[in-house]
Amino acid sequence: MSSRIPPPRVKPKDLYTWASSELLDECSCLLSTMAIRKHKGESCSYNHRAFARRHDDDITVLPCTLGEPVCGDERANDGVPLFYIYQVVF
Amino acid sequence: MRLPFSRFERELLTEINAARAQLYPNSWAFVKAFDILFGFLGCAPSVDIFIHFFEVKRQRNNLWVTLNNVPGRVLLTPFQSSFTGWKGRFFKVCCSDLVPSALDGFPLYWVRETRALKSKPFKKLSPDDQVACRILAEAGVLTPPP
Repeated sequence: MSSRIPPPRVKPKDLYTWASSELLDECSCLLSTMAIRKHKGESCSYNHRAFARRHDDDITVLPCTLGEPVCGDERANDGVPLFYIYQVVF
Repeated sequence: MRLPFSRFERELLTEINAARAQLYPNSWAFVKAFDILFGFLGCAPSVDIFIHFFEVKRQRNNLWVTLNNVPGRVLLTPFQSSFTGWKGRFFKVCCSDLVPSALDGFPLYWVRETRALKSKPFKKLSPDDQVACRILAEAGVLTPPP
């Protein structure tokens, strides 16, 4: 029985040397379902679970992993191209 | 927001040289409203016309980008005066293994050297774009161009 070796831990500061600390700290911290239910303010935050699915054969929309800086690139995503969008409902 | 991006959205992001997440929410609302307005009028939206109505500004100390109405040439007003609570609430969009080109045609990742753009004068627009501006004026959404 073979045990799966976890991928090496990525250090964003080493990968994105050009990025400011402010940008590297700009990580996604998605709302919990409970937080969304309790939310009383403007409806500018969206339940990510509604989007965490395959929309079609070409594009997949996923929630970010905890602590993932939004200035990341494919090096932090197993080589798969990606881009980031924020959750805002107009 | 709809995926994949329209040709206009891709061309605008390329011209500005910015990733999608670098634009503030109100700025992206301008882009979407402009796209929808031109679709309603039956005209093809172009980056040059957009830059005629909006200026692209970079934030001084970070990499965020804003789109601002050109004074005296206001086509759209901000959807909301101030958005809060959107930073730190991100998704990521990936292309599938089957169609890796689905995300081609615009900057995917944060760009350090985004392009600040001044408004493009009416006289420097192409004849087709000048016609589109006149259609906007005839539709009553802005004052007639000179």
